[in-house]
Amino acid sequence: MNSSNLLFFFVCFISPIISLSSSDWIISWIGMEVGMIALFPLLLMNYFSSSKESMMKYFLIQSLASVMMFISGIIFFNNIEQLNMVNYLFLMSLSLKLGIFPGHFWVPSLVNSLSWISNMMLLGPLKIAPMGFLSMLVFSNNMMHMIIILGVFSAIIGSILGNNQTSVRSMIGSSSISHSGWMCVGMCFGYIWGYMLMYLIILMFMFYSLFMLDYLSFSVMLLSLSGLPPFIMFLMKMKILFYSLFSLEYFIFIMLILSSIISLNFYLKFFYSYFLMNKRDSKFLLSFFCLLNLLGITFVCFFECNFCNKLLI
Amino acid sequence: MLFGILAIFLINSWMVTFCSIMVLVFISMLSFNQYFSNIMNYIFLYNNVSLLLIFLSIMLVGLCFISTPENKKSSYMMCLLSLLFILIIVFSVNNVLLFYIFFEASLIPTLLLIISWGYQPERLQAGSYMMLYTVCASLPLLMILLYWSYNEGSFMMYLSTTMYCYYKSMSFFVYLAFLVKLPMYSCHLWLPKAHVEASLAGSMILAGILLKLGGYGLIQMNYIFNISGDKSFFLIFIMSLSIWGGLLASLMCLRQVDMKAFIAYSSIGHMALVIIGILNDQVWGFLSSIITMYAHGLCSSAMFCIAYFSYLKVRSRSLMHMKGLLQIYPMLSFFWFVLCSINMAVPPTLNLLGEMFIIPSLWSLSIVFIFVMGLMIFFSGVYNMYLYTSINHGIYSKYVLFSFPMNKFQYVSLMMHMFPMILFLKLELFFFQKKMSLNYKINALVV
Repeated sequence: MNSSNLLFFFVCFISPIISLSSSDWIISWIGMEVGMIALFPLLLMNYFSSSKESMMKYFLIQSLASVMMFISGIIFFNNIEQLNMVNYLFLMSLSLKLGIFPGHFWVPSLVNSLSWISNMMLLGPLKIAPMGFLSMLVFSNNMMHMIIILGVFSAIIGSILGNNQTSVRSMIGSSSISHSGWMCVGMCFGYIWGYMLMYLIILMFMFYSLFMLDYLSFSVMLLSLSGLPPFIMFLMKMKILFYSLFSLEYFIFIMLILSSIISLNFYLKFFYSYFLMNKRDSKFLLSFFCLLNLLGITFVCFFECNFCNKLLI
Repeated sequence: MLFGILAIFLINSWMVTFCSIMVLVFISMLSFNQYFSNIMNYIFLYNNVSLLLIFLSIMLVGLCFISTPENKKSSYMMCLLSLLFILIIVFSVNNVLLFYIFFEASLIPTLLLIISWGYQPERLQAGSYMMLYTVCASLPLLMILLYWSYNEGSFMMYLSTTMYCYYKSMSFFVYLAFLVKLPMYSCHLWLPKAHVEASLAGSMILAGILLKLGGYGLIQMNYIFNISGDKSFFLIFIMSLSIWGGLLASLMCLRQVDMKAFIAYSSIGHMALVIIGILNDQVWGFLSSIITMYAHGLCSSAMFCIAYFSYLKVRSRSLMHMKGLLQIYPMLSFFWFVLCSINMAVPPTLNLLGEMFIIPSLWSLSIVFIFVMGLMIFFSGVYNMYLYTSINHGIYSKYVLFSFPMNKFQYVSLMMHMFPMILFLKLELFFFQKKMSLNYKINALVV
């Protein structure tokens, strides 16, 4: 890695901070664009022949989304006239940016041809700023229903797409579609940022363990992403489910459960192949994280959840 | 006990692990003397059922270590010990959410036992079957539990103030998770698959404790939701399905050729008694189902053990290839005889008490259940005799290899399986104080 790439990494990480901390929507938009521009050299880091193509794909889709967002944002944020169409256009551009239901199609194919580190940047920090934009839409009731519907759809479509994949990268891509759907639902009912934080941490450790060829901890991370009980992602999923139950949205609850069952199938499939491939002893740090991953839920339950009101906080 | 197990985690020696498990067995026996009482604190709750099942699980994990001395890898020990840790928490916890979480968490070490020490490539499919069946069935339970705890404002299951019949319409989904785990007939497909593919320790633990987890869950759900007493449509449906399913599973046994699948189907038949005993909500039924859970845990685990030991002699689990063991390995066929007779519930065993005590509780339901039950007991005798004769009698097949007589550890393991059966001398251990359900209290107040 050369020094300019280090700079781009820095910019990639700073872009969500710019976006989320500014009070002007133009600056937020610019922060998002800066992150996008800084990602391009990182996508080319490994010189796969396919990564150039996928970089072009990413550029075209993301610039289309940015332009759509700019046009609709001018109308949306300046309250020139409350057109419903503009809101939907804004939502559409965000769904392209995030890779949720109507604009999810680019994710698995793009992720399939990139290196681990660029995948980590693509699926991780760059999703924070669009999520922040999305949280502005929640305040209008009409849009909230739309976001919930998109979230549920992308949770299910991501899990169905994942069953179709044979390579790990595209599996991670489709699981990220599914998780973005969960985040959208979490945005409307609460607890998005905790979910996102945990998802990003697990994603980061997952790519790191793949990078270090540490298959044991990778398989543990996979099970954690699937949301099986003793792992930490279960707690996050459970909190979102709890909030949706709290808002008496049983249908959404059932659809989310359905999506997590469907996705469990492919997580298990990849878990088998990586768990049985495991030859080396895992590194101390990663196995420690695995342990934390397992025990986090226990500690939280023992010390927080004896009374249900605390779960709501 | 929990801290003891955590301490064993840190020391990766087989000998130390084994000795400490044996010490834990005795410690858990010391805590047996809780008749008609509960110990409850902020997180944990012990009553005599949970203490019995904790004893059973520690005992069986110890027996797993005895019967597979060739496998002393640290990963294997970690797997079994983490399973034990999870099981002890499940059996003793008071918090609904923790109960659910650890009930589900017990799947993962079992999955690892199946997929890393199984024999054939089909074990992956069997593992997926197991996971998907149980997770599918238990996620609706999560919904109901969360809803319940939201209404209650607390996760403590024994502080339940739920009104009678409040959750009647949901009772099917409440029970479904545990019925799949037990398994009831018609949700049972994962069990024979998992047994056939699992290694010895995997199937010992699976038959011994994990099925009992379902029974314990049914008892706890009765505590929480107060739905067992009313004879609603779903409840009658589940009970009749389970008893007919038990009969069908006993019949299915007769057409199995794989020994392990044979024993798995026989345990489905026995678990039908547990389901009906718990759901009928009478003291006799509870007594019978607790006895059946305990006795069947030891007996089926011993059956899997001896099936594996005979497999080592013949190198096949097929009933076609395994014949005439009586001529070559008389000690092995002696143990086959004893275990088959325990499994078919001959008089001085605990299984007999389990089958006897269910009859008064069934009598209160309907006479039809008694007939089906009688047929089931008859066929359980039939398939056990069939199993014994087809393995031990006849001319031994050409496939039987020349081999050593049974090892000492095999004797020890089989004898130690039969040793806790002596508890039929101390039956008050199995009596179980049912919580007075709230409508009784309210009736008392009204009257």
